[in-house]
Amino acid sequence: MENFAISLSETALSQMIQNSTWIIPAVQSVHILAIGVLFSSVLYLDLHLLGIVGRDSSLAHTRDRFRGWVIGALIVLVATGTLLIIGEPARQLLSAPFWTKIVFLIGLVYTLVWGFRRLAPLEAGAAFSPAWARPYAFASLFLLAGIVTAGRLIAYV
Amino acid sequence: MWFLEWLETTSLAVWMQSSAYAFPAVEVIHVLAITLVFGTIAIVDLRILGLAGVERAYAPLADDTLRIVWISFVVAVVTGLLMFISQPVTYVNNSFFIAKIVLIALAGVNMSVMEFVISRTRDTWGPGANSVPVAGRVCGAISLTLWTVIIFCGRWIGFTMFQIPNF
Repeated sequence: MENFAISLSETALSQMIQNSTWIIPAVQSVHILAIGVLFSSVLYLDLHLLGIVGRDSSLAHTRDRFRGWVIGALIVLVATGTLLIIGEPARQLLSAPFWTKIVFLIGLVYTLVWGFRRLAPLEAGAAFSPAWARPYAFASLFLLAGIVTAGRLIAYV
Repeated sequence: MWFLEWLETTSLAVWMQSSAYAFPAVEVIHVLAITLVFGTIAIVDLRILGLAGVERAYAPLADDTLRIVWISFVVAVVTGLLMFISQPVTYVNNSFFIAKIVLIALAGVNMSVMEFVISRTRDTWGPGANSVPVAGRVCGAISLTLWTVIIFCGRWIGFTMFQIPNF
């Protein structure tokens, strides 16, 4: 991994990012905006599943309204995250919090796919409050918070 | 200035400065809170602009979401203040910090105009991309722009606070 990080850091793209004063904070800012979109989308769907919001609209509508944004945000996060790794390979790839974050991310994607699969057959107007709502909501939010926490701790550890 | 210097000597500030885990822990909660502030405000703004969730009337969506906005905003302010008192003089001398506070204040004014003036007819804003009046859409666009710039300013504070860049 160390050798991979070193060779990554010697690439032209990595050098360009390293020598720039603004690329990393700009890419990180976009990364944060995408976290905002992901977090609020996941939270909103979870709260609707739990019957706390959206009482005037159907769960199917909430599912459809947020699914595209969740997928889009994850794509932006992977893209900006990749740029950040290329810009500072050793700092990410040799960091325990970074790999913890990746494990949590895999867990989150699995959880979201699991949840959306179960919501897929739901039709507009149908009432739906499944038994799995609470554990699913807890898992999705815990994993998300874990990703953000581990991500911030990269700077400290 | 003396007030800021005094703030720095309070026991709460000293705890933030000297504890190994206090600042990182507070900062993590701050990041979680601000991402939610931005994300939930974006939900309302995108609805106002007719870009997302248009099958739903405005008022119930706004009422549902603004609750979350306020809770996250309070957490963001409290954690922000805790970080601030750890080095008040340094933060006040950071242009990005000042810019962020000014922009947040402007966003507050914009939101007040939306909530207390323009929203008087909010119960008539039903489903559809154009149900929110133009004045409301201007507020929504301003809000989304301001909060995006606020996030950028916030990130740049970390880069400009110290001699060695702290990413």
